[in-house]
Amino acid sequence: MSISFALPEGRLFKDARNLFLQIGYEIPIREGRELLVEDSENKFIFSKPFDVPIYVEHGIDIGICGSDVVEERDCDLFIPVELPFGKCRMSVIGPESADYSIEMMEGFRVCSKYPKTTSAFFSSLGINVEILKLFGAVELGPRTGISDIIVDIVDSGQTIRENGLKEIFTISQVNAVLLVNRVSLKTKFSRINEIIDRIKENLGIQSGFSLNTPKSYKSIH
Amino acid sequence: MEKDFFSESIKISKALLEVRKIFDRWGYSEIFLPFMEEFCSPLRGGMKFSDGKSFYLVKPDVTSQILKNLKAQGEYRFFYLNEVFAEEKPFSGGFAEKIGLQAGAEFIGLYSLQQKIEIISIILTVFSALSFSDFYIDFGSLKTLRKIIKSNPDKEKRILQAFSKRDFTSIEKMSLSMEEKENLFQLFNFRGKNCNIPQLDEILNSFNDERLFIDTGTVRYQEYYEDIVFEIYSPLYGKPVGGGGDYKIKGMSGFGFGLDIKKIISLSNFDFKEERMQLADSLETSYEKAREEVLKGNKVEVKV
Repeated sequence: MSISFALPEGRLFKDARNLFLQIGYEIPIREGRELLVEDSENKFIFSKPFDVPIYVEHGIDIGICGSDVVEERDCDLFIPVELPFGKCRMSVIGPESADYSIEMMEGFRVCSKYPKTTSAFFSSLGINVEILKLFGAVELGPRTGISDIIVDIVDSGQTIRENGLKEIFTISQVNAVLLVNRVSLKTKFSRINEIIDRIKENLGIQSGFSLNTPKSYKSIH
Repeated sequence: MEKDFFSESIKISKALLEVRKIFDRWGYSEIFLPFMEEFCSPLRGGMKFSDGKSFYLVKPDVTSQILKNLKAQGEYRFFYLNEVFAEEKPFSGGFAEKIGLQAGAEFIGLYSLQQKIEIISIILTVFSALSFSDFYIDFGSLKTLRKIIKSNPDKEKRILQAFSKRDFTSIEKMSLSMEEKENLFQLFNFRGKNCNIPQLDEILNSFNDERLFIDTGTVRYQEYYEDIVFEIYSPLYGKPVGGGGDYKIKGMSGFGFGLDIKKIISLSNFDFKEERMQLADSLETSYEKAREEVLKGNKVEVKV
């Protein structure tokens, strides 16, 4: 039974590849700029991180991407494991000189790659903002004057500091997550649960519950 | 290349004709609900808009419309073929992409096993009529899950969310007793044919069909679902193609389903060709004959 994997290009790729290698799935070497490689049993696709949830939602069995992307894409899929890499945070970021709090941001213009997340956050506080969606280099927003603030992920904070910005508020913590297609988990139940169990074991995720232990359903009613 | 909208519509029309026949043979009447309603409980789904005075929903969720509009007690068997604009996501509050054409049926009356067997039988016969055989139906029980966590009702939404994401780690981190966690895990991880939950076992035992399973981790959450929920999916497609469950309505019990019928038709081996009686005489003669044959129930094609 073959399994298909969606791997994120970029900063998560190495950790994702190593994780699968540690549980016995070696990714074949790519020729040139191939975006899909196969071995005798499995298939591996290399995708932009923002697109991994889309691939998994629509049929790729397993994927890895950041929880920021999963929240933004809001796809219908399973997220059985949080992974201990790709840690960063989603924050509201403004100019270094900013001396205002979140509550004072009514009417602000916000640049972000995460318009849904941004909208949900400010709506939850009852604050109306105008959101401009950008696809990258979001730090340019306040620097060019097209926005007052930005919402973006922050790791070390170096990029925002070097662009004259600072964190004003942390919206959420972010880390990589394992994604599983809903239908795949049912049609490849044992195989995928075995992969999930092995990932948890490999990561030292303490759990008294193994997905592939023999099941005997006792009466609850 | 532009999508050939009309050819696709003709194919869907032929398939839906067969679907309608199946519903009719089961004694179900087509229901025509308003395409737009003023927003109120229990309406869900649809596209929201406001005219500045009131809020409205365009093409809301059909079951919620039935819940709102059904007034009198009795036994009802409805079916519908409806464009569903959007599906509300119960946990994130957002909306899924447009679903498209949905076929569904509701059996409303006294709570009974008969309702469930009949509704599942309708699904199986619709799929047979469409030559769609590569599917599975998984059944779960919301009541069993709620029973386990009855001392922690405030955690219900988070637990259901964890089940819907198949994320048991979140449940392990919750402040629940070990017994509660163990019982939840048994539900979470069970997939088979008999599970000692009578309502589920009775349904499975009523059908000799390998494609029906009990998967107690199945959570098809809508606020109106009471207990039994089910999900329909195919290995040919990465997302569920339908589902349903039971609900209470004005002291009666309802059990129904909705299918992404366009997707099912596209996955099926339905034969779109059809035999028609060819009539090729003069205009007058051909159409006289055609009228006779149509009233007898035959399909005709006049080529003059």
